[in-house]
This record gives sequence, C-alpha cells and structure tokens, in this order.
Amino acid sequence: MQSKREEITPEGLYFSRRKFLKLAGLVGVSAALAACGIKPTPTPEAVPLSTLQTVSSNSLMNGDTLTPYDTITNYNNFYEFSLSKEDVAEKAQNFVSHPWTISVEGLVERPMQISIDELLQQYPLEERIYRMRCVEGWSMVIPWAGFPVYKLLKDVKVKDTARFVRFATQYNHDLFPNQGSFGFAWPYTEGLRLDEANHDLTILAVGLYNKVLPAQDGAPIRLVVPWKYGFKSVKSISKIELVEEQPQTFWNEAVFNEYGFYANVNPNVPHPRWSQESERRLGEAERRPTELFNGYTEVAPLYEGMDLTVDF
Amino acid sequence: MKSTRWKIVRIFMHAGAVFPLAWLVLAALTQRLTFNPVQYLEQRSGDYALILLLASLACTPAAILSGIQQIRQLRRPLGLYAAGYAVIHVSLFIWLDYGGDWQTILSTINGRTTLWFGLAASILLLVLAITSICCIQFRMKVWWKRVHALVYLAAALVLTHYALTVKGNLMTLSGKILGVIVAILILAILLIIRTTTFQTLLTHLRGKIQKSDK
Repeated sequence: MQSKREEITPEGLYFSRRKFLKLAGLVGVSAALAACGIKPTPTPEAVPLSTLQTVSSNSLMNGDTLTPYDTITNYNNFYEFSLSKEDVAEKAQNFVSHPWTISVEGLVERPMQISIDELLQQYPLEERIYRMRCVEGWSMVIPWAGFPVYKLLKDVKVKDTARFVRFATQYNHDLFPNQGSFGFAWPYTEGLRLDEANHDLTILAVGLYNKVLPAQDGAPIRLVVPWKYGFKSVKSISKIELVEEQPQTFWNEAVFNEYGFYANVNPNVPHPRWSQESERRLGEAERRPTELFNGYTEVAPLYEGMDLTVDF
Repeated sequence: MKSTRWKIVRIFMHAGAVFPLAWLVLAALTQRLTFNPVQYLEQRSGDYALILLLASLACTPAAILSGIQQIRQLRRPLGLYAAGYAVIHVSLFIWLDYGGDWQTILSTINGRTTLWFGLAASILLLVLAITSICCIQFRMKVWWKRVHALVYLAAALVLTHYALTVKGNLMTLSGKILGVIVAILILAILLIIRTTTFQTLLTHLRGKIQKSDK
C-alpha cells in the first residue's frame, strides 16, 4: 500500500520549504568546521538535511499518523547514555558525531572506510515513513531520511561465502559513558541475515523529519529494519562486517530466551515480559493490535518454511 | 516518645504515603507524565506499593533496634497504604492500559509469569487490608496474626513480580536490576532482624555494653 505524506495527518511543526532553504546553509558551515579539524558544537536540533532527494513513503496503514518530533526525540532506549528512556535526550546532548567513519569489512571484495560526509554524498537520501514497534509494547511512526543498505553492500561487492551482516556501535567510553556498565557485552552489536539486509525496506538512516539525526536517535547513522522489534535497529553504527556465521547480538547475549536473533514483530510469539498481541502507539489512548511483521507482509517470503516460534 | 512528637511522626508518615499519589495526579493534570504516560503511571504506582510495603515491614525491626515500641503502630497504616497503591496499580493496568478489555487482559496475563505473581500479590494484599478492618480483626482473634504473617509471602510475590518485569537478567547481573537487588537486600535484612537468633544476639550485646559501662 502506497500513500503520500500529505494523506496522513502531518506533524504540526513539520518542516516548511522556506525554513529548509534558510537553514540549509548551516550544514555547510558544520561540514567546513569538521574539515578544518575543529570540533563543531553539538548538532543543533533544527539542522535540515540538504541532500534529501526523493520521497517514498512505504506501506502506511489506515490510522497511521506521524509521531511528533518531540516524542521521537525524547523517548529513547539508548543504554549507552541512560537506562531511562526519558533521560537519554539530556544525557546525549553533548555527543559529538563528527568526525565519524564507517568501516565496511569482512567478506567483501572491496572493503570500505568512509566518512559520514562522503557517505552522504555517495548515497542519495530517501524519506521512508516507517512504523517502529518496540519489544516493550509501544510504537511510533517515524519519517526517516536514509538509503537502503543494499546499495552500500553492492558497492563493496559481498563475497559468496558471506551469509550474515554484523552491525556494531563504536566502543568509545568518552562518547558513550555507559559502555562497560550494567553487565552487558558492549559495544552494542546486531545482525541480519544477508537477504534481510538486502531487502529494500532495510535502510541506514541519517535523519528524521528532514533533520539531521539527533544523538539520542542514533547519530550520525543507524540501522532501521521496520518489520523487526526496535532493538534490532542499531544506533550510531561505525562497523558493518560481512560474516559467514550468525553473529552474537547484544540483547540475545543478555537474555537469550527473550530476544531472538530474528526478532520479527509477531503477535503470535509471546514474550515473557510484555504482551506482543497489542501495542500502544505513543500519543494514543487505546491499544491497537500488533500486526505480523509490523504490517510489512512483503517480507514474509524471507521466512518461508521457517518456524517463527522457534526462530523468534 | 511524647505524644506531641509522636503525633508529628504520624503526620509525616501519612504525608509521605499520600504525597506520591498527589504528585502523580498533579503531573497528570499538567501533562508531565513523559511521552508514555500510561506506562509511567503503572511503573510509579508499582514502585510506591513496593516501597510502602517494605516500610511497613521495617516497623517491627525498627522497634526492636531502637527500643521505641510505638513504631509498631505504623505497621498497619503503612501496610494499608501499600495495598492501596497495589489496587491503583492493578486498576491502571486493567482500565487505563487495557481499557477494561477482559479478553485481551486474560490472554496477556495467561502468557506471563510475572503478571501471575503480581496478581497473586495484589489479591493477597487486598485480603490483608480488608481483614485489617477493626471489627474483622477482632473477630479473627489469634487467626489474625497467623493470616497476617502472609504479608511476607506478599512481599516475596511482589519482589518476584518486580524482578521478572524489569528489562535485564538477574542471573547474569545485567540490565535494570539495581532496584530489584536493593529491594531483596532490604527484605532480607528486615527478616534477619526478626529472627530469634538475631534478637538473642542483640540482648547479649546490649548486656555486655551495659556491663562495660558500669
């Protein structure tokens, strides 16, 4: 199902074209500062992305309305900064996401070390409006700006032996104060099967609401896999590795029987802590039923013949 | 303790127990309950129920340690407040979170061990609260004390519910488990103080101190 952004209730403050043109200059300034080796001040909230080119809203369902920017940027699971979803925005405000290098390595013909600025020049950004379902039973609708992972994987020429993609956050205690704490296996690591990573819905996002991704939402670049629970979508990625074996992942390592490798949104696979049959869309009074694959049924062929209650 | 000073202590106790509820109501009216207000209300009401239950269970040990026997009188009102917050907690879950949709509620409870523990704890606390009404308490005679020893079972059920609800793993000591560990330690210490072995030791020590003072 395709629908345009105008057809769903827009967020009140959603970006006007005039404002965009006025602020576009700021991106250039911060890029120039980065080039001189001067640490720019933390990304201001309202810096728009200058490179956003096409808009393609993906399979929005009836009654999907954009979650306000304030909600998306003030209710975050990002343990590197705080265990409390309400505190992440404040704790992350001094996070510096420039300079930032992403390394694509492992089973590839052409390994790539690329700065976030070069990456943005190389891959045109698309707007993707996705539902985001957290394993904790709440959900949002977020207008991401990003590009499909398959484009990046095509350029590094994945070897035939590669079967999985491993995504990891940078291990840097100065950037992420809680790394090393709470008994977790840091840095945050997630993985996808190669065909999942190559699916058109899977994107690397660098912005939301046409603005540069704020620190609390995973600056400067994060994964978004809309048919899986939110914890699969790693934030602040610095390493993408093509591997042969299914990688060990952050939450699976912490509590293996609760957070599976696949973590597909599935109302029929119960979770011991939260009901997965229904969810609360933030801002709504009533719960709504949770859809298989978060409503993105086009991914079903990826799992043909698999028992999703075993490979949950 | 003198009656005026004791009155002040009692006022503080009531104020401390009612304040969190008043604050939640105020925060709700001024829309400051985070971006997920339902979950926030559920979690805070649960927190306060647990805190007040532990406070109630701390009265007897506090009386033993301090020698101020009046503290025992706070045990009942604090327990009643704990039961009150537990009722609010469950009501929020049923009517605010699930909109009274019993079919969904039952299937939700059915798949989750943590909710069974929570439900059992709430029902038990409610029974203990009802049987604390003076006339019922009087009629139960010796049975009252026996039945009300079940408050320790209620505390264990609450802690299990809490431990199974937080995102983390007690076995590998990862995640949001600090609150759970603190609560378990507090309950363990309170139970130790109540044992006869500890109290014999305490009298023995006090005797020694008095002797050396002479």
